[in-house]
Amino acid sequence: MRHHIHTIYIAAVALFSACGMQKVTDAEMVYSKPEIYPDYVGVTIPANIAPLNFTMQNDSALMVDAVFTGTKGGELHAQGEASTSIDPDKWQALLKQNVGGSLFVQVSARFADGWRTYTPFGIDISTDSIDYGITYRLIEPGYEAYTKMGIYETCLQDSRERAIIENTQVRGCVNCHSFNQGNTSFMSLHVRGDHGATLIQLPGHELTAFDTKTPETLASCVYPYWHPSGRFIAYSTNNTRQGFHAGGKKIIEVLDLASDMQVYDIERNVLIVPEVLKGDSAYETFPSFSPDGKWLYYCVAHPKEYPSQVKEMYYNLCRIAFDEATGTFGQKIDTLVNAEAMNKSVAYPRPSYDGQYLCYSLADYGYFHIWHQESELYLLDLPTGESLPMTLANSQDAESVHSWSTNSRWIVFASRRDDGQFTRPYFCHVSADGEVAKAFMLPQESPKTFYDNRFMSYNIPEFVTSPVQIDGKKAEELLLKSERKPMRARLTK
Amino acid sequence: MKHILRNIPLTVGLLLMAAIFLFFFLCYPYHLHYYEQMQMFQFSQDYFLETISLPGGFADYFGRFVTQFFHISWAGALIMTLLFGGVYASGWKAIGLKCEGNVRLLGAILLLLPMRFLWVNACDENAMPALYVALILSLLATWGLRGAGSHPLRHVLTLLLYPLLYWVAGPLAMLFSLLMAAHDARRENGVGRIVYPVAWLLLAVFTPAIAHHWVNWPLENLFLGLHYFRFTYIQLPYIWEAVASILLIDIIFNYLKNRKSMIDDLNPWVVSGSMMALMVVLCWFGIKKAYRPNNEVAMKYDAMVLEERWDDILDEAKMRTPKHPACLQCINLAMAMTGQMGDLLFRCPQPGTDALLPQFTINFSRPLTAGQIYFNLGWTNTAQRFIFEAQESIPDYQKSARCYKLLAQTHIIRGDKALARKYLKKLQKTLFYDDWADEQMALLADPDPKTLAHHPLYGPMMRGEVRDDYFFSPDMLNMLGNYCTTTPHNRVATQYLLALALVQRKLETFVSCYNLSQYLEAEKRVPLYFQQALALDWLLKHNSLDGLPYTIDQRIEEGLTQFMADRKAQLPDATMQKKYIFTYWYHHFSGEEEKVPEEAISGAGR
Repeated sequence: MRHHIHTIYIAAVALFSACGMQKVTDAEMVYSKPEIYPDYVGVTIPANIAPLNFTMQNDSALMVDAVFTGTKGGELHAQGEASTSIDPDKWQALLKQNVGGSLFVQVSARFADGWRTYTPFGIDISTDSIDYGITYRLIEPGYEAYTKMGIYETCLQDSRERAIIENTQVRGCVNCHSFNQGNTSFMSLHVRGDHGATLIQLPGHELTAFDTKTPETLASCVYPYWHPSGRFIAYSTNNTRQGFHAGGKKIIEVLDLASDMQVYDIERNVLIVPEVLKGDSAYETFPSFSPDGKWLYYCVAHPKEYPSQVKEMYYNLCRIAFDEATGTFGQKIDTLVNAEAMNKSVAYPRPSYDGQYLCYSLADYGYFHIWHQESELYLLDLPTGESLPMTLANSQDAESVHSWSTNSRWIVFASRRDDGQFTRPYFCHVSADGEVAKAFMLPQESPKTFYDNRFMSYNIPEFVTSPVQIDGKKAEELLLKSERKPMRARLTK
Repeated sequence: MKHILRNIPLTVGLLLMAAIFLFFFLCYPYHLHYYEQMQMFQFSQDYFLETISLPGGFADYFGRFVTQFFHISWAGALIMTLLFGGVYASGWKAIGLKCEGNVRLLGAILLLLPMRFLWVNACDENAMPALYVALILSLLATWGLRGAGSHPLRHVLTLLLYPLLYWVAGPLAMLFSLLMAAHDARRENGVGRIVYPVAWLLLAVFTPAIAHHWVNWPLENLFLGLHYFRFTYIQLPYIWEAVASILLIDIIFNYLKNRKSMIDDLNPWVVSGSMMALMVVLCWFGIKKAYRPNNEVAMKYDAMVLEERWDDILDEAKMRTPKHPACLQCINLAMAMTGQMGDLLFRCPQPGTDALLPQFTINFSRPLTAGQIYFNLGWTNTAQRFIFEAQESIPDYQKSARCYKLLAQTHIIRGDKALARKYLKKLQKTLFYDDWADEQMALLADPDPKTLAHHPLYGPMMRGEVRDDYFFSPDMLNMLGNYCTTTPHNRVATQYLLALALVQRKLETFVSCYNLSQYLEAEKRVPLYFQQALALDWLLKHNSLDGLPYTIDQRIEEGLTQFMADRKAQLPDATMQKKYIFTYWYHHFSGEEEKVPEEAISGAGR
């Protein structure tokens, strides 16, 4: 409802302000690239992305003017007070015309003392398209309490956002959303609180609410990851706590007092609990399956004393074989990244769907890296075992909770680089040979106004290939009922 | 006489308004302050659109608009008066209390019954102003359409108006459908007497159900209201009683209007006098039960902390010492901020650490006060956490200008300028915080780092920040001790450290901290309770006060000697309490040493 009112208002404003652009006259030449917000200078974008509207970082700019010229032809002129106000249709046409090429962007800005024109910059247009959209949780970056939050989806072609489910519907906390390689007909969503449950959606099946806590497991299932077959979902189960820094720049540390992993067999309604991934001798978390389904990647650390040894909590990246036919695990655990040896810690391993790379975050310790300013994204070349930092994608602030596009050419991740607190989604291109391009922020019509007014963080952005199919109202109805389908646990070796 | 009787309805209305004004101005001024702090009305398109996008949003928007003025006590009281007066007057118009005689008198006085329910509601600080706005809109709509007579267009207008009214006023629009149903049941002929009332009632049922398709709230909330009570999942008890009583008065009035002879023979003074007496009694007992003086006191103390009226806090405590922990926290802070903690500590009850340095609880008001304490202590990270969490806990998801202000300040102190600006930009869109926000923005825009370093608030705060990286712990004494070691110039923190040791009955720790602190050098004399503690410690270790290495007042030495003698003589506790309640010695021996809490790891993840 709010969106419709807003659209009518914007259309009215656009109509009245479309009556002629101002001419850039007597502009002072500034021999440096413009400082724009968001920073789109030198980024690589897909041809099917929404217009990259931007404004000047300097708040005293009264107007921004941009001329986009394609190396393969075409030109687009955009101008506006709050942002460039790029015409979406003209933008799409220009990008389509210049796939594999670049755009040169000439920016001018009007200040109180007149126009200034800056050195042009380039934007590369990749031949690789990007998925339909992203889903994410929006939540205020707080501590224990939470206010309104929900799971939302944005279409990357037009930046339109819609709510999938909000916690006003169910009086709880919604999170841990996951899809099978971006396919929204497979969805797992976890809800905590009075009406807590894990919702699982499968193609051709009714949405079901599960109680994932069993006597054999530590707690309810938390961090999910789908097996490519769609038959299994790997979960961690975590006894999570938080510590709050009384001094220093950090504010929160999220840590586990215990964690284990299990795999849910949907067909048999059985939670497979392997002994090798259970127990107090190690903390296992963040499972993810390889794209061929034969391996389970995860992070593991040795237990440490709280709080004295918190900064010695180092998670390594490991993998264990998984046999989908029998639902059993191998006995040998391979360490792919020995972060402990470097006095570092790995989190959130996510393999690309072509099996070539694995993206993870690396920080000084712990596993909840989004609260670690030093956290950076790394790319592990799976065949060679070599890890390299994703330098052009990283920043001076925290990067983490990343997801691959279905063509394995784009990564979306959450970054705190804007202001150090509120995470925003950023996208970077990863070429077939592992070259990582500079990241760009999720475009909006009027980005400065939009992000200034957004006091929520984007949590766990995930690519989706189509609109999320879950019916929020049906989910609400299901969650407000008390019935839950229980899971049975089966301990295995 | 007739003139007086004719004006009784106006008199009753004015009396009601006078009573409401006096109640809020004299008895509940700090409740009004509290309302203002639990919201942040912004003059922006986004805020408007967000507010009106839910059923009842317009009523809520108007309610929030007027709430801005509540921090000015007389303005808040006046607004509440006008809201109550508005409900009364629009109720009068909607019911059509126009006839002459005792029926009119009766109607005017009976209309106090729903006002009584609303007044009882208003004693709960979580009853929202949107409620009164919604009632006024529903009653005005009723008045408008009932006044259209039997015009056939009226039914079409009722049908079209209801969904709009529901969106504007929320589920209290049901009052409109109930009154229109009663009206048509009386006025229509034949089948119409049943069809139209049923139609209006069905409208009231189906409109929320249809709205549920677009609104992400449970159906229950769309029937019972999103903006009438701060807790969206609990219903304020007397809203629907107020609605039912208005409907009842409408039915009674219209019944009696056609049978005036039944009561017109009665003496109008007897009728009005007895009904007024009944209403006054009902109001008195209802409001007396609902009235929350303890909350008002706690809010008063909190408001004084916010305004840094330290002397006022101490004067208030002298007049009437509260026992509520939130009040004690404010009093202790005032003592520390005026450098008097050592002299005044045990003039108030000191039940434990919580009265000095509270732990965090998920609540939307207690962490506000606690956050102010930590802020004044110089613990910026902790203050930020408490304030942020207090705001996150506001049950109706509103933001708080007070919280935004303090968050902006903590970000300035931490050097997070981009974040500070983000909060300040929002405050620039408010009516009463914009000037302050402009000043802070100007400070941030100044490229000279000395500007902030020499700022009277930010400079000392930045220098006094907690530098070491450790987790906030329930062992407050240990944390404070570590902090004071690295920040010895923070007098407020030093006072808290010494006071905490005394409150926890850790006399040896107190003496060690006292000797290590710079108190001796900074102060010309040893504060009263520190003298008492030092003397007691020496006496317990040496069995005599001889050789005491501190400058202790003779009267304290004599007092301690007497105390120990009385204690040895095992005087009854009541006697000891009467003589020594305001001494440290009594506190020391009246309980056990406070245990160090287990290292609790806060909260679950989100």
